[in-house]
Amino acid sequence: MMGMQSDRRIHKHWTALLVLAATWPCTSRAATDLTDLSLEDLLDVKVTSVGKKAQALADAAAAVYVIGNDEIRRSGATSVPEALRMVPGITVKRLDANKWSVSARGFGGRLSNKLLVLIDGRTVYSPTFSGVYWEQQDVMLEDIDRIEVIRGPGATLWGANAVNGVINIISKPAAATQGTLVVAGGGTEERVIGAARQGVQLSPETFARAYVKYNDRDSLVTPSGLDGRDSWDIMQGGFRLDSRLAGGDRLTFQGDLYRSSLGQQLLVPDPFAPPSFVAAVDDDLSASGWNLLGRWDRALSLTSDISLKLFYDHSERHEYYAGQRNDIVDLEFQQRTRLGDSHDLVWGLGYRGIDDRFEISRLITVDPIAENRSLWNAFVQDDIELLRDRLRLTLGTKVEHNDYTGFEIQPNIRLLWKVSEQASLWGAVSRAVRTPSRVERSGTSTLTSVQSISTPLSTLLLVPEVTGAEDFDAEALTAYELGFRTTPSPRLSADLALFVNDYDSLRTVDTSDAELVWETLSNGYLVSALPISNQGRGQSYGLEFALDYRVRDDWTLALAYSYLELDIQVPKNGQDPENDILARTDPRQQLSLRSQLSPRPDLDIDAWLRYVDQSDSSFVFGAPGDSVIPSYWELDLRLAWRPRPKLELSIVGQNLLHDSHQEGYQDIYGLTQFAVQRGVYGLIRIAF
Amino acid sequence: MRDRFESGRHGIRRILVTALALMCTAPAPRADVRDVREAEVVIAYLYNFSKFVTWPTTTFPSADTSLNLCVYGRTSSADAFKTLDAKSAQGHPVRVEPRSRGDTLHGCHIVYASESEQAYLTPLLRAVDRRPVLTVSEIPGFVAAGGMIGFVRADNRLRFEINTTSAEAAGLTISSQLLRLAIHVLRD
Repeated sequence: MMGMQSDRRIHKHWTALLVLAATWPCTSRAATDLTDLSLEDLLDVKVTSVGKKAQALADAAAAVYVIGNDEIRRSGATSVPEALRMVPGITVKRLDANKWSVSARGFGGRLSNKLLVLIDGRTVYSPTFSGVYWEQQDVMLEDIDRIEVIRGPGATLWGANAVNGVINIISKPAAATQGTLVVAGGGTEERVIGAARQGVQLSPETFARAYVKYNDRDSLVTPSGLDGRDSWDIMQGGFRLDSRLAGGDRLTFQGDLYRSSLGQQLLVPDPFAPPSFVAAVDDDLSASGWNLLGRWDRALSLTSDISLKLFYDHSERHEYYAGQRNDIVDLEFQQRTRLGDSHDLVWGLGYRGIDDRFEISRLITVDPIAENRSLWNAFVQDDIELLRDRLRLTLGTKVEHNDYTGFEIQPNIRLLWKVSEQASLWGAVSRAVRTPSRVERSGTSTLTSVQSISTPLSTLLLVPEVTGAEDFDAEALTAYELGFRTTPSPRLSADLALFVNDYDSLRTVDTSDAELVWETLSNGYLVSALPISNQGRGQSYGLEFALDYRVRDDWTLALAYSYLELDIQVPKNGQDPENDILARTDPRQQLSLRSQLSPRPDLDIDAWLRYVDQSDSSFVFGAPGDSVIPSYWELDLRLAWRPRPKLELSIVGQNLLHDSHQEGYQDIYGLTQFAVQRGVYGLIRIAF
Repeated sequence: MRDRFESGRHGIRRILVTALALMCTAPAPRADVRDVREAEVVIAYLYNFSKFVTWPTTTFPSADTSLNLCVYGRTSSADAFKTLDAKSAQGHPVRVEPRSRGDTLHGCHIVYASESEQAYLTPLLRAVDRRPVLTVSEIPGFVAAGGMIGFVRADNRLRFEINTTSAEAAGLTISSQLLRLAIHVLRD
């Protein structure tokens, strides 16, 4: 009842906001005729970038948000997940010092698995659990050109796992990063920040760069103010080479190498440690990896081009409860061609091979411990111009074959209507699937909830285990989206996206399916195996709103707001029958307001205010409601001074409003609360 | 718990409404501050270029032959380009002609290649190679790839670089006044 009432109230306030957005143009203005200006005058005309960015997006029939290089720098973020907090509809939780949950439109958590993340076209989600180890996905932030975030399914073009969104991290071409750059700094939470890059021109058409970076980050704190013992560091280096051949072909070759050591605090089940049956583990884990990527682009004619991309990615991770190695090779061919007057066709073929090996423990086992599997895909998408520069229809589908669930078909239909040069309206219906991960098919995880049951004969210890299932199927989504974008003046752009998502075959654990593994009795306890199944279904709906406003030439405001409602039905005997927790892993409302002010050309004063509604952990432990993460407001401030054009000194204060605040739980075995502390760091950036 | 949640929601609404109201009432841009879309500057440049480039005499048989500016590729500023339609350059009426990817470039005196054509740059330049067509674009590396005038963004302003070798091979003469204002001139 309470829920319905508040729903109605929310709708009312949405209507008000929509009306405001629709009647927006307070400063609308017609195009200026500059043709009377002389060349000398034109050289002096300042152009605004708000419009440029908005215009690039005006053609996209999807909910896209782009973070530019400058925005990353001025946000004070020192990692990609921290920068993603500015995107409407993206939820970022820092779970412990070295773990993040990043999700779009729901289903957050350490093991959140419905996002596809690419770095320069290299897929970085882990095939082990279909989620992303964000702490291992580092990039030289200064060399990022932009981060494109697509909320909603992107499966037709991008493929499996692009269920709720795609995050595309795109680095600058080597030609744009010439010369030397050194970044050095440190502070209370960001203990050491160091990066250096050198760019060179090898021939008139060949550019290269190499970089090395190091970060050392302090631990978080427990609610009682104790050290979280989860500090960590990462060292990474890499290179990129771009060349244009005589025939016009473009070649790119790049690679990275990293090594990281991290601390984490675990609470693991121990049937021999009564009365809690929980043992605390102070774990030091290590992660390392390397990757190489090659890309070749060729224009066949004025209307057709092809590209070939090949990458190899090796990663290793060794922690208390498991060790894993993954080797991925991925080859992709793509052709874009124009057919007739109005069809723009893209089609492609792809292959991915995955080779893994696990080190198992009493807590987590994987059977077989090594596996080799492959993924094939073909896609075709046609952009049809129904009315030149006005109305465009996009039809496409991807057909994918994987070793676990066979063929998966992921079609989409999109329509874009350019109402005017300043406004466009789009809608889409698409289907996407998330294919099972390795542990969902062949893994077993012991839960930290050993129960002692008194029987007439003796006391029995029951140890629950969640087990993967051979018949676990892909999770499916049908999404309905609607969006509106407008740039009523070169100083103002607004973007609104609405969605309804319909999920089917979501992963669930049904306690009525529990099987007792009697053989384990000889160990002194009894294992109760809980197989996963696809019994979850449900809907979500929500909206995302972004607004960029250049108040003055030296002052920009960026607002992002999102609202999310999720209703999942799970089986009666599920672990979470009331469904409170699954549905609330992401906050209902989020707000981000950034202000970038440059009172003098050599001075930046930047502020970033964020609100995040309350949410739950994605893991169930204790009574429902025990794991609620309270809502919070936070503020970051940045002050930068450039005494010379190529020298920048800055000081950044992060999470200034509280001594510390909790954002989430690290989930599996990470049942301890950790809170993110207020932090200050200073940075020097020198280019020469 | 519910209370905190409620107050959070109201707080958010207040902030949103205040922020929106603030933006609407924020001082309108002062009239003397030039604040324009990049496309408007590009169009003004194109018009100026048409006055500082000499085509071979055979290109314009008579005074009423139009000077055709072909806008090649997808652009969201089609209407803005039309402002050039009524103007005249070197005594010839200017005509703006939108061309889609793959359309012929016959009859074009100036080809402005939209950024959407980046992947097709080489075949595009090959299609007009050694023909008296002035090629202009914002595509990065346009001049190095053999284009004639490429726009470069520097310090929030739009500048340009010129490849005189390509222009001369096509039989075009670019006036020294234009060359002097280029940030970079590429010669053999």
